[in-house]
Amino acid sequence: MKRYSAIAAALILPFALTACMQGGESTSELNADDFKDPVAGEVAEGSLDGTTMTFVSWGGGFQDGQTKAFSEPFAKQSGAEVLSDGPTDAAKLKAQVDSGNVSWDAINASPTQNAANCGTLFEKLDLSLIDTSKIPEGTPQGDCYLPSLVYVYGMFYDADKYGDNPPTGWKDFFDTDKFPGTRAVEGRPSATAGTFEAALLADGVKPDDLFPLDTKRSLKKWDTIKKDVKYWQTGAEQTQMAQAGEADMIFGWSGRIYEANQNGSNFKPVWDQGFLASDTFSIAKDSPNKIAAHAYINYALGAKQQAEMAEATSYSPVNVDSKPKFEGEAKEFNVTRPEVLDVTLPQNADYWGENQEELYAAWGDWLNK
Amino acid sequence: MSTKQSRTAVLAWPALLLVALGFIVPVAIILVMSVTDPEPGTQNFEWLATNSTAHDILWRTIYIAVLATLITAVLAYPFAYLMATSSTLVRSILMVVVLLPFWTSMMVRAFAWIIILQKNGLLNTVVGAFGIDPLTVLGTNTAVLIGMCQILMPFMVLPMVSVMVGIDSRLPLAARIMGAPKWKAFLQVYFPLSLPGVFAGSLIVFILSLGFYVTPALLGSPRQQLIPNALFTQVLELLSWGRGGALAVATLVMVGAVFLLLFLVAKVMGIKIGKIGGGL
Repeated sequence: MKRYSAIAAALILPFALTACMQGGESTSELNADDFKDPVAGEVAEGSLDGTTMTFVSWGGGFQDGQTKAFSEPFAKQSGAEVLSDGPTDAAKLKAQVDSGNVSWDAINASPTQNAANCGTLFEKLDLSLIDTSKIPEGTPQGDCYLPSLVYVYGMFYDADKYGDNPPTGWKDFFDTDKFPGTRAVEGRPSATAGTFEAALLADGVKPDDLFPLDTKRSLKKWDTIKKDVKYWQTGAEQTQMAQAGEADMIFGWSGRIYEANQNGSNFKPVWDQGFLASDTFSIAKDSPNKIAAHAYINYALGAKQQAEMAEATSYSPVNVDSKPKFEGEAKEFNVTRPEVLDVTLPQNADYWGENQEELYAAWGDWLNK
Repeated sequence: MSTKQSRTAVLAWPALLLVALGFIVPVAIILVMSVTDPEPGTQNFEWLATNSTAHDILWRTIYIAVLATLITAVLAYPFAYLMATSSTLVRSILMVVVLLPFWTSMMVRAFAWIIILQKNGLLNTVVGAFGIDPLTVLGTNTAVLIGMCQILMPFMVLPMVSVMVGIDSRLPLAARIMGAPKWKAFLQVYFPLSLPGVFAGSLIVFILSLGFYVTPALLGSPRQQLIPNALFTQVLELLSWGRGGALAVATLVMVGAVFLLLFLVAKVMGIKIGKIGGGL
């Protein structure tokens, strides 16, 4: 009998423990009216004294850059204590929201994640608390997210291989007769928004007619080069493939190719019809520090903060007044220049978010076929 | 239960509690979730039953796990034999050889294999010196198997050795005295006695291979997805915890089936499966 009661206790205990942890921390009373008429990059001195909030991002050197550029000066000015956590993980956030014990506030996420879970895992943003007037036009934005940085998901080619007759667009990427060589492409079923679009553009679809996406037609186009395709599954792998000469063209993320070039590879971008992609600022559903999180995002969108972030990472700023000190190649890979913004297409994160399951299943099936 | 027994049983409670909290409860939650998320019903298992990509992934995972088990068994057996029949000093040295890579993180080892196997890597530099065309190994099942077998080797060697050192060396000797040639004494006396270790090692290696995530993700190709990678997509990307649960249940059933099969085979052959985890 005793043995059974021990087992019963073991089974009940975790539920009792979670019950005790419910409710989150109590926060100091803040009045949203004090934070109206915001100016990007500014927060009133001492306005968040006594508040403790958490900023979540991908981790590593990237998040260190964000902490230096955003969290540290924000904490000093506003009086808030800003904790860092990561990596951003929708499943972890879901666990927090489902258990009613949310410990994340401002989150650096992907726009597809935000769009797919807007209102369920992410709060709708209150734009009366954030100054969005300096965000460059054409960057992805939605109800639950604003851009936190931009890059281009596009094609990059090895200039040592195609130097004399370089490819100029998606048609060339899908033409292995004219441009023989291996292509490195998205290898995760959770494809980056733009993966289906590139093949459709190469197949002659006009940018305005891309949506709703014809995945069958797109995959048929992808089939034509499948034997020359290699796959990356992380940003780091893109860098590694470029450096190790594993691929001659890469359909990847500008920041990662820039990193490879810093380490000796010689890849050139084709900005034309590349997909302007962003990471996002968003707020956890039921965050106990919603007002502080809005203030944080408003601060992080400042020109100076964005410039510092861009200098510390390999990404481009999302404030039109931002003037990061870029030298040489970094200038070329800064994608918030009008020359680049004019020729790229914005990622359609809302469409990808709404149709996430179907799109991921289609790409995953194609990968495994 | 005698008082002495129940007193020692108290010592097992912390471990029991840990297993209950850290394993049984989560597994139960996954089981429940597979039939309740997003709504009560069998839709997650219907998805699993009708999705051909999921079937490919399940079969591929079993295939890779079987190959990894066979390869490690064949490679580990002579090594374990050498260990079991050497002097204490040599055995200790060989033990360190087995355990050294064990103390290095899986991630680091996977990256080391990338450097060796990639297109401009060490392997192709060496074969290139002999005038052989560059080999494509990285991104294939071969690379996954190489990486997995290296990691799994200690799990095969240790149970084998623990059984082999227990084999009375006078038994094969007796066979020799009775006139059996060396190979026959080994094959008919020593080898059957060592089988419990082979079974124990195979069981542990097979089950561990089903759960490999990092190695296939780094060394393999996304075109050759295994169950853990598919789980990652469902649970962390699509937040489809019910389907993830269904996949996990399928894996659990597979492990159960293998256990059962191995026990049946062992029973028919009259073999006691050796201690798992060594015991040297």
